[in-house]
Amino acid sequence: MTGREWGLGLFLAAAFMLSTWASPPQIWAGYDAGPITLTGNVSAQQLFRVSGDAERWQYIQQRNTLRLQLTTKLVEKGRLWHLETEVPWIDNVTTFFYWRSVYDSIYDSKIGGKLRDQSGKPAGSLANVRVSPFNDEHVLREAYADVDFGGPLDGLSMRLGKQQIVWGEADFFRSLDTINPLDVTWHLFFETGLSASSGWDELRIPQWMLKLRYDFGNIGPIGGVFLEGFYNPFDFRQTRFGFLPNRPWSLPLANPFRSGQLLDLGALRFAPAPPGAVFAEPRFQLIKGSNFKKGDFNKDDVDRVSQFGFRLGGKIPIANYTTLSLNTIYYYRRTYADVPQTGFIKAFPERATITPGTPPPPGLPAGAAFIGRVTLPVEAFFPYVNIWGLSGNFLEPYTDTSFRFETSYTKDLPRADVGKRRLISKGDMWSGVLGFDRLTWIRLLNPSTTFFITGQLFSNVWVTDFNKNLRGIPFLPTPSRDPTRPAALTATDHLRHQEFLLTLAIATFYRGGTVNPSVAVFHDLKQPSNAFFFSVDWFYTNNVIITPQLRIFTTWGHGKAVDDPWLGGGRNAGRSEVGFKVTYQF
Amino acid sequence: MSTSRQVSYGFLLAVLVTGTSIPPASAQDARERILAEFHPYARGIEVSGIKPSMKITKENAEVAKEALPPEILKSLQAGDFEITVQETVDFPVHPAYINATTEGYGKAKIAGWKLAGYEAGRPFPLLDPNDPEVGKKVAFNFRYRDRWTAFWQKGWFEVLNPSGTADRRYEFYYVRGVGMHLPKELTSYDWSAKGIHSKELFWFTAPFDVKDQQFVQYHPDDDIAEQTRYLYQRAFKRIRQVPYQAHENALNSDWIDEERQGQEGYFRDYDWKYLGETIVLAPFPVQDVLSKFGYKGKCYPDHTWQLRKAVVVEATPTVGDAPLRRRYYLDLQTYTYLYEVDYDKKTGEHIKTSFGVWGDPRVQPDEITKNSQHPILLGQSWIDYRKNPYSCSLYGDVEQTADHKLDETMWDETAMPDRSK
Repeated sequence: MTGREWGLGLFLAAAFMLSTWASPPQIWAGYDAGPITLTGNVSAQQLFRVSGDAERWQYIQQRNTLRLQLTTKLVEKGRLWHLETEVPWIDNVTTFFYWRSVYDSIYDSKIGGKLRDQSGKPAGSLANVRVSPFNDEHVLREAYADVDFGGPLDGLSMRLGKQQIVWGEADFFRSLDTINPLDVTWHLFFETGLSASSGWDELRIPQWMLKLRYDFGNIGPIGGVFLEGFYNPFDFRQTRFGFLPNRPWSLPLANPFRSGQLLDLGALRFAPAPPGAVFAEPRFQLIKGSNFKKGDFNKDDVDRVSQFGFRLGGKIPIANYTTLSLNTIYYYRRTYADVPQTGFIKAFPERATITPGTPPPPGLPAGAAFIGRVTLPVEAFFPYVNIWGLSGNFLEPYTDTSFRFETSYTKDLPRADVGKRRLISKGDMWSGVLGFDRLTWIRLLNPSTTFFITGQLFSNVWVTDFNKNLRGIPFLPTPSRDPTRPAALTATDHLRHQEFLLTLAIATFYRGGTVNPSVAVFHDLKQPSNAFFFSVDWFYTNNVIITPQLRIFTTWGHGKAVDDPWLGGGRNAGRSEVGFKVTYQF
Repeated sequence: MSTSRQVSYGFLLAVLVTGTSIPPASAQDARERILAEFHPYARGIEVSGIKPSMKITKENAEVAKEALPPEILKSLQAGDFEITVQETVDFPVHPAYINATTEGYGKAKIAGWKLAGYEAGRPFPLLDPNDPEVGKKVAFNFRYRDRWTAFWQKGWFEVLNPSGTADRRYEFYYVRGVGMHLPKELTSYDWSAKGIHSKELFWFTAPFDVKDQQFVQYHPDDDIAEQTRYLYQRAFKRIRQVPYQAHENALNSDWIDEERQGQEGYFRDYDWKYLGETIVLAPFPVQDVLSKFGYKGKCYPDHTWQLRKAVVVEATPTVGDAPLRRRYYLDLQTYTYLYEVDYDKKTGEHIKTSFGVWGDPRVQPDEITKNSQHPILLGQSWIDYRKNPYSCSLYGDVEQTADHKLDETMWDETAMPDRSK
């Protein structure tokens, strides 16, 4: 089925669903036929970019999404399909399937104007983007079976299949919530899901895994002790990212590995030239069979991609009726091209070849030398790392506030290093978060329902081998307003020894839960990088939700984007968005 | 215009007149008096003019004047709902609960906001209106009423607009376990080591925007201790411990969170005043399998009503964020919450009426539930009269069971992600 056919089908389905607006609200929650339940929604989201010189009210997304979730109870209370057949040692078996179909008409309509990247440089136009494969996606996102064992195996449960596993205490932060990679082509990290049905669960890429859990009950003074482990034998998936102009709401960059650019060789610390003196036109050649989706391995080779982890948890009494829920966590997995600061390009300059006689591209700085086209072999590099973690939460009764924390230590995490010939080095990174959740009365704004306020302070520190040559994205185009002039690649995206990010989010309910606004603020403590998100879920009926959205990215008058490591307000300055989503749920 | 205090004066007088004074009693005397409390209909019950099978409408509402709180009578007189009267059903609670009451009589002492020396049964079966702590004792009787050790329900919650259609409708599983102060033969769980009286699970199943959101709540036996609530957010696929706010309107509906089943928040937030015993008309125990609501705005229970002996207690807030002064009408035989009339704590204005809908287990289809002998939670309505026209929120049921042994992981917060799909 082609994307156009899918799109037509979705349009007809949406038209049918929306035709029910004219009738009284239907109280019908999905299709429930005894052991089989089918639920889901269909939504249409429009996104407009509202700032930037050439981009005011640029139409960048018209995404139509169908979500279908099917749940079946195969075994219930030890009996198969409600029959008299008893299943030994098994109490319950439930299967779950989640299908997501997406059609974005923006690629077919060709409305989009010129796009600009984080430095203000032209980055193509949606009108010129090849329609397929960007306009549609049809994927079985999750498919798994849950098994609760009984009899002699009582206390043991299992989830087997394509799934997401989320451990840790942080929202929007990749410290311990890293079992699944992220799909930042969905909408970077901007689907926060504070009051909505979906958020980061739409960003994580589900993987085929086995998860086992055993509940020990109480052991001495520690309550609810459990041991949980996962094993991913063959389903390695890498962070999915997209560049301008193909994905105008993903990374604010054109592909930094595209051809036709100028590389400032002085950006490499070991190069015998100062910055701005010697240029080459790079051509990056991925070797060893690696690409942005995998390293030098077959991504479904059990011997090369197996990953696992476990956690041990329980509740420790710390005061009268106050308990600390504590989890110790360990992962052994390959790295993801992740936020913040994981490097994944290993260069082989000794194998570089120069094609002399290449005419210099226009825009070469006056007096600079040009040595021609350089073919540079590079390898996408995703090594195994060991990660140790600790997370916990407790309710502090005097402030009536729930506090939470998580911390992780990653051994030998790769990062871009322009001081090394391989352009990569390894170091140990500590990361952590302190957060709080509180229900707070602001009666002036809402006399009957509290505001849910949640705040977090994130930090990460390079514990070992920090140096000034570390980079986030190793090479970025220098700013240029001249569309005919190729950008020069420089290494300006410095990593800091320590990074800090503050987040604050607030949500509440009005009008009987039919108007639910939420606000989120992201503030980088190390540089002028700020993001403000506003959205309202307005339930026109119980089934129809209208969601206006506004996302503002700013550097507080800094004048240009800054290379913040969180891909937040710094890199997205000048790329604020207005959104409007209509959802029909069933 | 008269205030609600003035309007209710006559009714309160009736309440106080029928209040009983308990003289000191011998052990045998006390036992007999306690048994009489659990069997209050041995000699029948009567209010002049109210007969079984009669229908009470706005035309003949005066006949119910002595058997309804004035605020509910006013709605009846306005034609907002009607009452069909049935014979009073004797509903003795479980014999084990009665035995525990008689055996434990005199042992329970109030110690702050918990009881010392209390094991099971009704802690204060014989009340003395002159006792300065009698209001608090009623509150403890209410709290430790005869309940199931485990209750499972497939339910729904609606926020209605004045036309009686739902602006929001949620469907969920509600599961409750009680692990302290039940008679041994009725107990499936023992949470006394942790001091947890009961645990609740709310698991939303529809609509899709809330599907698989869950929360687990722990109720400590000591009311001074904070209730613990764990929330599972599907959008994050993560559990978070959130503070419990008993006094907020849940989901901005007409239901203040603590009003579940009468009072599930903090008894400590109120000063409890005993107003006496009276005879009321109430839709209890409901002789239908499921709850039904109807009449104006679809806000009122649509079941037969019967004459019941009731204990009346008033709870006046002692903390700032508790907005309402509450008058509870509790069934004398079971201490089940029949209905409650709420007033603005400052102005005294009648603001809200809430009806409990509790079923007779003997009409339930499930065999274990049928024999459980505890009142079965079917639903509840909350009517906010501040709005004009007024509207309400409803809690109803699709199916339920009581006293089935349920797996304790049902209330384990760390099990919520695996339950979520």
